[in-house]
Parts: sequence; C-alpha cells; structure tokens
Amino acid sequence: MTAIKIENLGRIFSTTTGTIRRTRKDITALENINLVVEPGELFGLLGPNGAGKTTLTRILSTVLLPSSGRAEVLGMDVVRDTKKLRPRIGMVFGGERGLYWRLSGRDNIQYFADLYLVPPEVSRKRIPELLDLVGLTERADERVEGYSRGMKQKLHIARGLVNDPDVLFLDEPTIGLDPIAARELRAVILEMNKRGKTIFLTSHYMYEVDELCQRVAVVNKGKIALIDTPSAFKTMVADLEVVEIECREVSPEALARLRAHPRVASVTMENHEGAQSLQIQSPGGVESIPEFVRILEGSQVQKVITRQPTLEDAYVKLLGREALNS
Amino acid sequence: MSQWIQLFRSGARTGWSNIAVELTPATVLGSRIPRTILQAVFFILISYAAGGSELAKFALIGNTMHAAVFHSVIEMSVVIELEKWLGTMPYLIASPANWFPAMMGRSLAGYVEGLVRILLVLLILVPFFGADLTALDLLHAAPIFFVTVASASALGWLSGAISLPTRWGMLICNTIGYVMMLTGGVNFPVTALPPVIQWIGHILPMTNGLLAIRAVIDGASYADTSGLILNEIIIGLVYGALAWRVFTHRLNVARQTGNIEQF
Repeated sequence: MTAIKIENLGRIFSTTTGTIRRTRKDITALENINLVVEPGELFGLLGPNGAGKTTLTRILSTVLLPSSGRAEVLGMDVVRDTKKLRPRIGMVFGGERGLYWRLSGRDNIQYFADLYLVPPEVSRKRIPELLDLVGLTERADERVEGYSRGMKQKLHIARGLVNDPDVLFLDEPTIGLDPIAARELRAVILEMNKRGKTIFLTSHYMYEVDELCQRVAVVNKGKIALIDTPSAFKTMVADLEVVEIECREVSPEALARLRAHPRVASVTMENHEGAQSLQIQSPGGVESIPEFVRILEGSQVQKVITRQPTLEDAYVKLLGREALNS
Repeated sequence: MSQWIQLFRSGARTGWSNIAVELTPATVLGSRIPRTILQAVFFILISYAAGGSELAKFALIGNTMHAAVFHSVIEMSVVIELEKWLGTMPYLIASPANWFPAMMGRSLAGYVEGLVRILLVLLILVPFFGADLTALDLLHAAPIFFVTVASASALGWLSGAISLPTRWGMLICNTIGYVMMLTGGVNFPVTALPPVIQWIGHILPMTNGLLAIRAVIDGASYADTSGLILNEIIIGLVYGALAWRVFTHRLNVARQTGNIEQF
C-alpha cells in the first residue's frame, strides 16, 4: 500500500472581481496531478507562490475537496473515508496563525489531543514528550501570544504530532524562521522521518528540500513539472557552472545582452542594498568570465566567483527566472 | 459518551481561557459592566418617560433578559468567527472529533457570562430605579432565565453555522439580536405588535421565556406558565438541532468553496 496516491487531481477556485458589478472568475489551482509517495518517505513539493502547493496539501489532509480526480492517503479516499483517515494524519500549515494565542502552549496541544480523541492516559504522557522534542518544555505554560515565531512553529509541529500520525503534512514549516530555528526544526522533521513517519513537505527553500527529502516534485501553475530525487534533479544542471558576479548599476541593456549570450543558460538577479548579484548559469563558465565582465562594462563589477550548481539552479533552469522571482 | 464529556470539558476550558484573559478590573469595570447596564438604562428611562414606573419595570425585566440573550447569541457566533480569525479552522475541520460537544463547551463561558449579566443588571438597576421587584420573585423566576438564555444560545449556534463559509458572521448575529429586541416583548408587550411580527417573535427564542418570567414575577405558578416554558425549551431544541444540521452542511460548503477562513 502506498502512503499517498494521487490520480488526475484537479482543483478550481471561484472568485469575484469588482465591487458593484461583480464578475465571477474561475482559477485553476491544480490540474491533472499524478503522484505516489511511498510509506516512510520524506517527500518534498517545491514550487513558486501560487503554484498549488498549499491547495494540494489541504486536499490531502481533508481540509479541502478536490474539483476532479481522486487522492488516497494510507489507502483511504480523502473525500469518502475522512472518518477513518483523519485520526491517522497530522498537518502543519506554516505561519503564526493556527494556534490559540490566549492559551498556553501546553493547553493548545491538550485541546488538539482531545479533538483527535487521544485517550487522556496517552496524552498525559505524550504531550510532555512532544514539548521536549520541540524544545518548548520550559515555556510550555506561558501563553502563546508571548512566543517568538520560531516557538510558534515548533508548537505547530508538536500539535501536528499529537495523534502520532502515520503521515505528516508540513506546509512550509520553516517559513520566516531564523537560520538556527529553521535548522532545529529540520532536525525534528528528520527525527520524525527516522521514526517511520511518512512526511509530505512543501517548501520554498531548495537547500531544505535538498537536505531533507528523498524525492521531490516541482509544481508550477498547478501542474507537476518534475518528480525525481534531488540528486537526479541536479543532474539537469550538471553540465553547467554558476558564475556569481557582484556589481552595481547594471543596465537593462547589459542584462539583456547577457541573457542573449550563446553561452548563457539563464541569468537571475538579486538586489542587495544598492548592489546587484547576478547568478549566471553557463556551460564552461570560467572561460566565459572575461566576456561576461566585458558585457557588464560600466556596471562596477566588484566580485566574481564560480561554484557548482545547486538544486536551486536546477529549479531555475526548470521553471525559469519568473518562478524564482515570484 | 466519555468522548463527548472529554470534548465538552476541553472546549469549556479553552473557551474560559479565551475570556479569562479579558477579565481584568479595567475591562470589567470600564467596559463590560457599563456596556451591559447602559443599554438597559437607556430603554428603562424611555419607558419611564412614556409610561411611569410600571412601564419602567416592564422594560427593566425585558432588557435584563435581552442583555443576557443578546450577549449569548453573539458569543456563540464569536466561537466560530474566532476560529476563522485565529486560522485554527482548517485544523478543526481536519480533526476526527465530533465538534458539537467541543463547541458546546467553547460557548459555555458565553452562557455563564450571559447569566452573570442578568445578575448584574438586576443587582444594580432594581435598587437604582426602586423597581417593585423582590429578590424572592426574581429567584422564583431564575430557572426560566436559565432556560431562556440556553435556548437563545442555540439560535447563536445557528447564526454561527450559517455564517461559517462567509464573512458576515457578526452582521447576522447582531441583526438577530435586534430582531429579538423588537419582536420579543422586551420594551413593549408582544400583543401590541402587528400579527406577523408577533408570529416572528413566537418562533424566536426569548419571547415565550420572557412572557413566563413576567407571569411568574407577577405571581403566576409554574403550572400556569408550563406551556410557555415548554415552548421555549422546544424552540431551543429545534434551533439546536437545526444548528447542528446546518453546521455539517456549511462545513462541506466551506470545503467545496475553499472559503474556510473568510472573515
């Protein structure tokens, strides 16, 4: 039996525009999604904002209904078998919402333990264990409104585990966390996976998916663009090198010339306090550096380095720079 | 059954914790008590000006009941709205428990606060206006106050359930509160209203309960008012059952439309 099986899944949302004359508009969030996740797998779902990651997670966790197709979790249909399925799954949606801020961390978990029908004798033992696992034991009796963002995210994880689920859905669990808090949370996720839980993780952070996931799917505009292991995904850019150029005042014309260069696969640009960082994917990048610098003449080139491509580079190649910028 | 009790207790604890944070001396003395008293005072003064102490007594009893009922209706809706504001709704939807006992527990604090409001209004305004009401009369009517606030709470649940996938939860429960004030015999007798309005009043909670309370305070026995009390209980049960059915339906609508957190 597979942990998650998705067949031709689709989801359309209706919305309205305008204030007085309202016009109905249908938005396709997911289209013809097919996916299988094996038991015990830590599976990552990558994609730009609005790609459909959260929608898919919500359908799989029985919060939303699909518009077409079907999905099974642990062999149970997410529409028909919700009563049997819900006690066996857990979910964590990223962000600061989703907790009772006026309650203590411990009371939050206790409330959800009750909602998941965890017997009191089990929850009495499990709740301190979970608080310990996420490192919140000392602050467990304080109201959540006084927690930092990282602590709230950790509490989310503890809440998601309160029913000891077989499958855990994590929707951008480290979003907005500082690097240390994010690293701690990733360690918890890995620990959960080691304990045999199937984890379905959506993320914006490529290094996170690269570090944690055994397989990854990239979703864009509601469709699956690729499913593979992170290392296989990276082979897409194995023939490329990445040249990073730090400069100032890059003109649009220079950028266009760079993008049109025959030895350039893609260029992305990030702004940092007035300076620009160009990431150029190029076959044989080192040899092309003098030419790239010449194109950028007048742009005050400050630093040039080369590096091996990462999962993010593969992602950029697959989806184009619009995906990364979004 | 033990699961229902566990969920009810857990809901009650959560509801109480949410309200308890607000119960500081500043908010209680500066807002909660004045808000309750001043609305009643406003209508009692109008009634006194219009019809003297008898009409003022009528308005005092009516507004005491309405203060509790209005609060109760709003609090039940707020339980649902709060879930949307906090973003906890998706987690509740995906939980395997039957929500009903948990929501009943969550709204218990609102029900108790409604009863406390009755006590407050009576304790302060009866001596203040020198109303012809004895503590014994009021104690005699106390069980009907309990029943009436409970049946109004059921209408509050219905209001919350209807508004589940929408953004007009507070609007609908406020409208219900004002319709009850208009049709329930709060400031003037129900019989003074047009027949259609009277009919609306009698299918809403509070109207029958308030009639029973007035009768008991004026010396009627419980046997004499049993029909009114029974009506109030039946209305409460019907609204409670309707709330549960509508809640289940609206939950599915929310899952279909994706309007789970609309507020």
